[in-house]
Amino acid sequence: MSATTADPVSPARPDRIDQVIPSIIEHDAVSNHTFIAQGLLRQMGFLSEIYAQTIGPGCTGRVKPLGELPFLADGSQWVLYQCSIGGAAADVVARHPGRKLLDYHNITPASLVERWLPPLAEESRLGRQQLQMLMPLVAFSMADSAYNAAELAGEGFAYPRVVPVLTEGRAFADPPDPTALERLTAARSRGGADWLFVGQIAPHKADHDLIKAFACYRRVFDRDARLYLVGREMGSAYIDALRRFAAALGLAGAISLPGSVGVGTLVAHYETADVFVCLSEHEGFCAPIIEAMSRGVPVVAYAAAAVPETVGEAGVLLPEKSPALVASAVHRLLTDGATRAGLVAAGRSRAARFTPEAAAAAFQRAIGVALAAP
Amino acid sequence: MSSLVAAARSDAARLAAEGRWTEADSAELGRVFERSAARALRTPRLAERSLVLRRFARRIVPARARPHLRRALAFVERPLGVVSARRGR
Repeated sequence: MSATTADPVSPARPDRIDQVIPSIIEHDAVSNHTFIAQGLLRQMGFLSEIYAQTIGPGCTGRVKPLGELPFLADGSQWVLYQCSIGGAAADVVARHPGRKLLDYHNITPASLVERWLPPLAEESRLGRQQLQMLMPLVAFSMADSAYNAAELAGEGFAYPRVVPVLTEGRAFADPPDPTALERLTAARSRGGADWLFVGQIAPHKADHDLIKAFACYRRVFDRDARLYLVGREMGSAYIDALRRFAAALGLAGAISLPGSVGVGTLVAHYETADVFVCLSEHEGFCAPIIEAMSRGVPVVAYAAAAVPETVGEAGVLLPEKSPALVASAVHRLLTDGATRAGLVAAGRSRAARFTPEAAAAAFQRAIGVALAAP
Repeated sequence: MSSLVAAARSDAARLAAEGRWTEADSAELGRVFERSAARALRTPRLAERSLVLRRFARRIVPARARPHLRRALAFVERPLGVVSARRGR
């Protein structure tokens, strides 16, 4: 190489890597990821704070308002943007003078939420536009699934790195809440299978398709079955529609919508479920699938977005989700002991690849690559 | 698990042939859900306007006043069932 040609030089190691996130809240995979990333960045010797546009209950004191983000222009501060929706946070990151890193958790397509929450659809569209705005400004990008990384690459980001969702692993290891376990076990004692889905009650998670499949299953295979849809509602209209739907089908007593629950109650649901059924139209990763697998719950899932990548060979992937097909697949799974045992074993094996330690190490390696990048 | 999916397809076809669960049953479920959705969607317009207000206000209110704005909007939105979070189980 010519002595006059400058080699690409890595920038100086910053003193701090601060994170920016549009909204942060308890019991949320992206928010948990951000909190754990903060700990890992501090472990690597960086000062690190989290700045959010919207700070939900339970996060106050751990997160600073976006307006307090320092703007240090001397190279001592980098910014890691946790991207999952559009908003003012991306504009702030774009204006920031520091080196920019991006961690992509996917943005729900606006078309899937438009009918129920038009402002959210607007923010989704904005998020996609902001990705294009950020692309030339971002020095390093990562995503929590190959599906998400491919989307980033499609937007022009160079070599996005796959780093699994960071978790504390509490849903893998914590004991169940005894009260919740007793309640769920008592319900099981009346007979019938327990279906479970964990995730925000939201149109793109297609809880209504789950209710349709469950209605078919109850009528054809198991009149005593129960369905648990565990998660916080996104707006009031969709969950209202689900409740009306369940009531109209005469299933109000068989379908539970307990809302957002703590880890102990969540574990109790995993402990008592016969099958985890995911019919989501869109998932950037779907951490509950891995949690269910780790707890020995077999998974039946509609093969959409990142779900096939997350499930791998360790679950039943459906090419479509007509009620009869979903119900028949669940029935086959629950009545064929050998198949069920095989899937449970495969699920545990797959979940073991997503340990908190492995994800943490991958994240720190990625930051190491970002530090070395020119 | 492709064998299980193939077997489930056969089961679904048999259910239809035997009249235990047909396309018409699935279509009826779709209609019932649409009726439920239409009724549910009549009520949250006020909540949606509140979200729009929040986004608009966020742009025009000085940063130092935003915590007060946030608390005020949270107070208004709580009875409407609006959640500020966009994610989370």
